[in-house]
Amino acid sequence: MKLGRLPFLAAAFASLAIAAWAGLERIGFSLSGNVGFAHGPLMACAFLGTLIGVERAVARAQAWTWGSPLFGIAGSACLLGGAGHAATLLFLAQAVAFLAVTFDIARRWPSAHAFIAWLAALAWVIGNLLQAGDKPMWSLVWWWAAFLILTIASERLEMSRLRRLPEKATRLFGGLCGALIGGCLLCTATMSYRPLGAVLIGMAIWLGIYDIARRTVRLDGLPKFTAVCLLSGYAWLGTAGALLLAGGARAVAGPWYDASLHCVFLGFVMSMIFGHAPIILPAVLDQAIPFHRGLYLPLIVLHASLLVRVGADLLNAPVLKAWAGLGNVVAIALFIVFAAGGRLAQGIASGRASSASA
Amino acid sequence: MATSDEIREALKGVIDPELGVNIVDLGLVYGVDVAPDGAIHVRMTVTSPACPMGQWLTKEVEKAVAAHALFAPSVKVEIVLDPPWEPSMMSDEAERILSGGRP
Repeated sequence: MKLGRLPFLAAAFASLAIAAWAGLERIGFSLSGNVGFAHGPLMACAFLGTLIGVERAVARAQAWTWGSPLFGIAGSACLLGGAGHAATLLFLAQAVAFLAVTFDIARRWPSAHAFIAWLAALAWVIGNLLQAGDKPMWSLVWWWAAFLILTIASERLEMSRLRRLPEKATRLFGGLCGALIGGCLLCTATMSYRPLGAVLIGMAIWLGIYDIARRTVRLDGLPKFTAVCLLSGYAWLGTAGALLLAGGARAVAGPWYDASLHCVFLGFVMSMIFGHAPIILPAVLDQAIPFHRGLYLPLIVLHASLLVRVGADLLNAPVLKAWAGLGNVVAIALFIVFAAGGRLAQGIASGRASSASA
Repeated sequence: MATSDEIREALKGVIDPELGVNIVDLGLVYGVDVAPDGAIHVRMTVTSPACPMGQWLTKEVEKAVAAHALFAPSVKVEIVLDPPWEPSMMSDEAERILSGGRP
């Protein structure tokens, strides 16, 4: 177990827990804590941003790359401690430090996917600049979404090299990534969501056709599970796009806002996390997360509860939406419990085996 | 004493967790050197330097080599990033699984 990394991951997952609590507060549950305001920044910066920062720092193995996640942890502490403005500055520092990391990677190993990863970091910086400038959440949240979408896009493009795609297909994806930035600009500047919606649909279709998950879904065990998570995530990305296309300017607030954003953050991003936790956590924490078929259950709960949530949003049914939101949180909690449970079971089994042979 | 071919064969047991394909077929193993005293040195790469899998892979390779060459005085696994990995380094078998065969 790599102990030095543990505080970073503990902080990231603590942020997830508090962000989930904040989310439940926001959708109508009477909970103590008054942390509803922190839901977005905690999810995007303190949890996801820190996690991604840790992954890059582990990969680079250079002390300075740990600066970004460190800023993220400091930011979340300030946010929850009531120092809101200091928090936004720390989150900005977190994103700028991460931009430097992605720039360094793109400089040393230039490639289309390295450039897209840098673009993702730039989107995050823009979002956090708007946050530090006290701009309203609706004007910056899609920049956070773009940070996540482009980070995942860069990794999927990198993996898709294994499929030996035609040059045109790769260039098309690069174009879609650039268009995503344009879409975000239009959202912020003019409240036009339809162009962004069209881009998300385009990306979802590209990924659904060209991602290596189309191949690995035919295998068994963990590769199949990861592929199922990826492909279902792409369906949610496309759904987010369709909602933006259909909703237009209505996506600035209310049910269209809730539905489209959570299709991205839960349907797409959280699916990715479920699919990759058994792969990445062993690398980051030096602890195996053995795959077992029970992990499909939290995935099913995630997708089912999101389906109900989006339906409730479109039907203007806030009570149903609240319970669906609880279902989203239950799915995440179930995944953590099942993943840890698998590790525990493996530990017990190997303990028995070694004492039996002793 | 294990030969470098035997060790390379043993490394086919190290499988990329997302792809379900072993690291030899992926073309990640650049070289296996066995010194006259039996010390083993594996040179390998990763598909992306930005991915945190490198250290985990190194450990898996060390375990696989140590399990196969029980009496080797030392096992060293080195990640090299030059030349950078390219899809053409994959074996036909990996190509078949991942991209439906070479064109």
